Amino acid sequence: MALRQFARQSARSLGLRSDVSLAPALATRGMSTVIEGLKYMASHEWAKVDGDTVTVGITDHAQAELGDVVYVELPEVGSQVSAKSTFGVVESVKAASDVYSPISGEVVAVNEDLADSPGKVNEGAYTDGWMMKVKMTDPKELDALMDAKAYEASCDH
Amino acid sequence: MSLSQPANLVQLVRTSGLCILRQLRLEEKLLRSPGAGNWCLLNDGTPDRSVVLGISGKPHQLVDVRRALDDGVRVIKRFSGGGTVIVDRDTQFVTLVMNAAAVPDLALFPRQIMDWTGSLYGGRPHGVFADVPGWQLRENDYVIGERKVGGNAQSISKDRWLHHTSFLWDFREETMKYLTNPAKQPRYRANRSHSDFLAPLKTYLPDRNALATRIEAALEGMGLEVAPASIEQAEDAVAAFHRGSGVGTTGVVDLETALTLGPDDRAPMLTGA
Repeated sequence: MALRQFARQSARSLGLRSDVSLAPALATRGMSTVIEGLKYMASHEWAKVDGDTVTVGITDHAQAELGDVVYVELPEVGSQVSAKSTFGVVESVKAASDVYSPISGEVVAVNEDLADSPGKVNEGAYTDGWMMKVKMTDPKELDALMDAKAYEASCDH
Repeated sequence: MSLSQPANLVQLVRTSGLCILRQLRLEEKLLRSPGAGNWCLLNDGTPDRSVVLGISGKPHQLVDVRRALDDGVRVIKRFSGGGTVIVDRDTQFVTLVMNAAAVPDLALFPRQIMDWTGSLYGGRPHGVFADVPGWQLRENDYVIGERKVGGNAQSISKDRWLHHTSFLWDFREETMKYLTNPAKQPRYRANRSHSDFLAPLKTYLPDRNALATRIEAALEGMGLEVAPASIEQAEDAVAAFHRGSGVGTTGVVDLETALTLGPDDRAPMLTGA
């Protein structure tokens, strides 16, 4: 029951349709969540496509493995990012971990809340913990990303 | 470096008195050089006493900026996570820069890497401190009994990871005056001062060469193959990837500017330093 409610809340905040049929599509692997309708990288970033803009963050699996996030370094608005290249850094438990952009384009927004509240990455990896929004230069790059099922399978290897 | 070398080969470099800024910049380049192979850098002492902040370190929260500036103590911000250390000629540095393939079953996340290095240092029978009573990994610190003997940090990039440690072969209490007592502390520290919280490694090892000798044996005990190399070979290994580029975030903090900033401000960096 709690899982269905979580599914509805997550789906609404991501701008996805919220209906009961989404709840079974909200897969869990152990304690981590994978959301249908998003695209994923093997390095544990997610991408939500909205027209020519993509919102990017790290997955629930990644935040769970990283531990308490204490610092997030993000690119400047207006800068360019490249697919599969580093766009920022997440610090947790004495480790600085690079995060990678799923697509190329111009950064049009970053989540400034993470400067004072980096823990939002842990609390809502797919919602309040979003990191940047990118205006795509080549939508075909999305074809190289995984869907939820493929990402979930990659985490099991 | 030939890319046909075994995946578990670690090139081991032993230096003495290598400048910590040069070392950290090399480490960052090694981490970001995908074809550079696996490295273990062992450096016994750095000639210039320096404070080293982690990637998110805020000077005013961690350093007595005025005192450091007045006494000519350099403050460096490094690329890895973790806390603040003060290093000098009595600090012994151990750094691992590894491909994921060198330890194939190791998931590249902080806790898993920490567990692996915990085995390197404390596992029996080959661990570096296997014969030292009271050695343990505690709240991500290397401790003997209730006292910390080394600060460690990590950085993870693509399929490579780095773990570096600064061990206190010895230290002087007056050196600690450049550091403030950090607000965020491990529970076991119990708000102790630096001098009550830290312990010198010389209490537990027979001589300054012991750490390096034991590291080599411990790496082999973890299934790695070790081959000697020079610092010049390490610098050549990264040259191909970083020729002409200013890659790297490690640098020297601009203390004059830091004095004008507030407690929550990030470290301003000197350009060209």
